[in-house]
Amino acid sequence: MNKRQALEIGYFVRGANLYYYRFLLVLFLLFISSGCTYVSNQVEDAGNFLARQVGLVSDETKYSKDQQRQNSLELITPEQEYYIGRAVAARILQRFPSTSNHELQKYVELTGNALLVNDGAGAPFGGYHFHVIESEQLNAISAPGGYVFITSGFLKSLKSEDQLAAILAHEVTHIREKHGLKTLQNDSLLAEISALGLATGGLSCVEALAQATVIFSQLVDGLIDTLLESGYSHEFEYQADQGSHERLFNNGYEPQAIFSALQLIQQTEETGVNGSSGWFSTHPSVAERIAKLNSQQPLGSADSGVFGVEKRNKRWLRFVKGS
Amino acid sequence: MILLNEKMIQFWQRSRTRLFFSLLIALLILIPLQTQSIAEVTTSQGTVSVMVRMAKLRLVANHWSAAVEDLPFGTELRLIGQSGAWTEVETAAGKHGFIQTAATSTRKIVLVAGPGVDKPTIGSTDVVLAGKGFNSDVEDLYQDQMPDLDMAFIDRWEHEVPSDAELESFLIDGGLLK
Repeated sequence: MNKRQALEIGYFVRGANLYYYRFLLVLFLLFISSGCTYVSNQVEDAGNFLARQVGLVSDETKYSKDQQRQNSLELITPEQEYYIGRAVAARILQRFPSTSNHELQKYVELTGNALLVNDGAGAPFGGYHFHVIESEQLNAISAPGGYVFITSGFLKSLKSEDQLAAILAHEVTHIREKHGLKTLQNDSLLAEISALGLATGGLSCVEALAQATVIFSQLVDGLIDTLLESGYSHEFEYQADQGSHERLFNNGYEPQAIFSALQLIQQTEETGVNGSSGWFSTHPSVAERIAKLNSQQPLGSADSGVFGVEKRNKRWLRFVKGS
Repeated sequence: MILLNEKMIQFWQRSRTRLFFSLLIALLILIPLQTQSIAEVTTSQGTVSVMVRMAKLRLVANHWSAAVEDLPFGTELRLIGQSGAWTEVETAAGKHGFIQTAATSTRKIVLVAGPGVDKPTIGSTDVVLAGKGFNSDVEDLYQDQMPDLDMAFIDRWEHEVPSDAELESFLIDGGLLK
């Protein structure tokens, strides 16, 4: 080996070492980025990519905004809806304290569960949960993912377990039909959900996790606004009333209880006890709702009959009225 | 011994060339890792999938029947029959029983690992199971930003589910048990 050949080998070895370290660096960077849902400068394309991957959108097809919104909602899996619901429920509990009456809480939880014994498809990922919150406001709220709240004030204003069941069944229908998520009108937010590529990748990189949390936070804010301020559309309320009617019937409760609960609400509206917020202010007029329900096929009376109603009224008085 | 000449050395010393080959080798290593879980995509027909976190497979179509097995989210079951609130199924291990219809879906659960998933394997009616996206990590970060948020309360509440015996007693007491 002459001097020139030795020099060439020296260059090569140094070059190879440099190459080796750069290779390791590139490998490391690729490994990190592979764990992320997206790379930041590709976010705009990710939604379309994802939609194509799951077969929702073809390259050639242009979709309407409604279709895009529906596609975005489809990308929120039951498990993701569960996490959204948990956060919404926790936010509701920030505003309304939980009841300290454990017996009453247990009673409401059991009444809610009694409505789930004969159920069709569509249970949320984490199941349904029912809770009493302390407030004189007459209100019942349902968060996505299966969380149902009823205020102590609303409970006291009702007249029977069947009416309580009617209100809870109404809220269960909102959850089952995903009315909360469907009400989100913020198209840019839904586009961000698509772009996030929720369904395709992990969130092992800090940047993606942070961005997912920003979108998550916006979603929760939007839902809180819908549930506590703006309310659902009339169409969703009618659907929830009808769902309540059917669920009461299917589980042995008096299906007419949704009518009597609505009539009770109407009386409350007329006396103005409720004020400007709560369950009533965000719903269509009771007269319209009763008329809409009446236009549907009647379901008849409950299997449990008068005897069952009397038994339930006794425990209603014991748990709610304390007598 | 490798034969070296000036051209080869220049070739390796070109940074773009090195970068290109680095990327190529890295991708060849990573692609198999990325597509590994595609094998978990389900394609069979005549099945239902568990759509809740945990469902009970019961011996007969009744809430108070003995539980044969706990079935986690995504479990695929062979559909035998369906009648209202109960669906008759068989597990992959051959266990026969009934599951609440509400806890099931005829939509497939598809586990997606990332880019490289074959389009034909996932239909528009499938449910994508990623276990990612909005997950517990996102919830933890969200809670860090809102320290007053009591997620521990939500955890406790979720565990306050009435037992089968409590619910049965409640239904009987209220004349609700059919």
